[in-house]
Amino acid sequence: MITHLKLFAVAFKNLFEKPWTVRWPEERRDYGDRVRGFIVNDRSKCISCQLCEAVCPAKAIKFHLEEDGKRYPGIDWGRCILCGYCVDACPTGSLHHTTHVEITWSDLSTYKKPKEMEPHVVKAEAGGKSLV
Amino acid sequence: MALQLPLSLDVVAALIFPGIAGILGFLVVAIWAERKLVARVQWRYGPLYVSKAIGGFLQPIADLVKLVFSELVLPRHTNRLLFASTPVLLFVAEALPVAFIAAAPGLVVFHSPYGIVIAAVVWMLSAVALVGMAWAEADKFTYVGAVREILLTAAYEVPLLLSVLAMVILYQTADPFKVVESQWLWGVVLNPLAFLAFYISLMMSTTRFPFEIPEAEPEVVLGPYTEYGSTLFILSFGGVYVKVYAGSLLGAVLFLGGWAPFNDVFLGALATLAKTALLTLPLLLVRAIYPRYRIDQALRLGWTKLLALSAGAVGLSALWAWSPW
Repeated sequence: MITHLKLFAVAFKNLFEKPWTVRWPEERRDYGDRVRGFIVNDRSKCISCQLCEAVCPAKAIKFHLEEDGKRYPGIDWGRCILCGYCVDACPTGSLHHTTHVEITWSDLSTYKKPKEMEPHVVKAEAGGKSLV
Repeated sequence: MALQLPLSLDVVAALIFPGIAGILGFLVVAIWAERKLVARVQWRYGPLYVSKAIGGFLQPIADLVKLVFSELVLPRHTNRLLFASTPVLLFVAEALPVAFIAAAPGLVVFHSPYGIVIAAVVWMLSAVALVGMAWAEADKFTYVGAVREILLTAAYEVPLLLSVLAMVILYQTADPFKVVESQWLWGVVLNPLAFLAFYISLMMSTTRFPFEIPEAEPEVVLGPYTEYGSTLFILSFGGVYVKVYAGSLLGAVLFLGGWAPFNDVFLGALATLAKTALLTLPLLLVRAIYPRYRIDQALRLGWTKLLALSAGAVGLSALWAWSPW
């Protein structure tokens, strides 16, 4: 009997708790600026060392020949697990995360070519609701 | 203040409260309140997409409209007349107890000196309609649901009838008006055992959550309601909420003093409505609180603790009724 009363008491207490969920897309979660979001590549800094391809555990990174005769990395977003190893391995810091977290594609095997990974291509949505 | 109405009181009772308008209004409000309450307990918002300004209140109405316009499938291998008519029968059977319960002085559809007992018995009969419906659907999930419903009925109907009997013994009458008039204290104070037995039986009867066994979704799809869509789904599944309404109304009259502080028709009906809502709220909330019992656990509970509780309630009432003071 006491157990049942306790159950009801907890439920009653929770009734007055603020909802933790977010009414997306009207409001968005704020994850801070250190979140590992969509990865972009600044081609002016890239030295085509292929360390990112070597370190990628999901084999998501492939290199593409671009118009300037150099090879740059592109990412298969059906495979990428956003672990950030490639960003850590990058010696010049040309690969880096953005705060764009709503990485949604209509296709499971979406391969983003190097020129689709320019830093200006994606802009992060401003999240207003803090996590805690 | 005597309210002058152009209609006689039994017609008002049938059409407005506790009759048709009450039932349909309850259906909408209860579904909305349930989704909202459960969401709040689970730290969610609940329905907000439709009519955000009034807390998504129009969501159940939108759902009803959507269901009405969805396709009605009558499977060829069933008896299609029975398939289409049993949900209507079930809805009516589950709404029928309301006709014998008084909501205010003079506000009753059919007045009978045995009204409370008739309401309880008619309430039990709706299980027959439910099993008939499950049988007419001719589907393995509905069969399993029907068997579970029969077993659950076996578990709750004796304690339920005993708890009603206890109150009838206590008040020495089954007249829906005299039952309320003879409550010098609320029935829940006079006989708390009977209230507890009645309330748990009510939960079982309306298959609220700890006893949501016949329509257990992960196990038997939707039990006896599996095959229905569109309007027939509203009628068959909405019937459960009508049952909640009828049971809460009976509970409010038997245990919470009905229209007690007032003798006016309008204020009395409001008081009964408030008490019915008070009894309904925990029933809606249990969905967020309890896990589901297994059928054997529910049966064991019904045939041991609940039966003992209701037998004790009858004993307590007998003590009250025949004690010298």
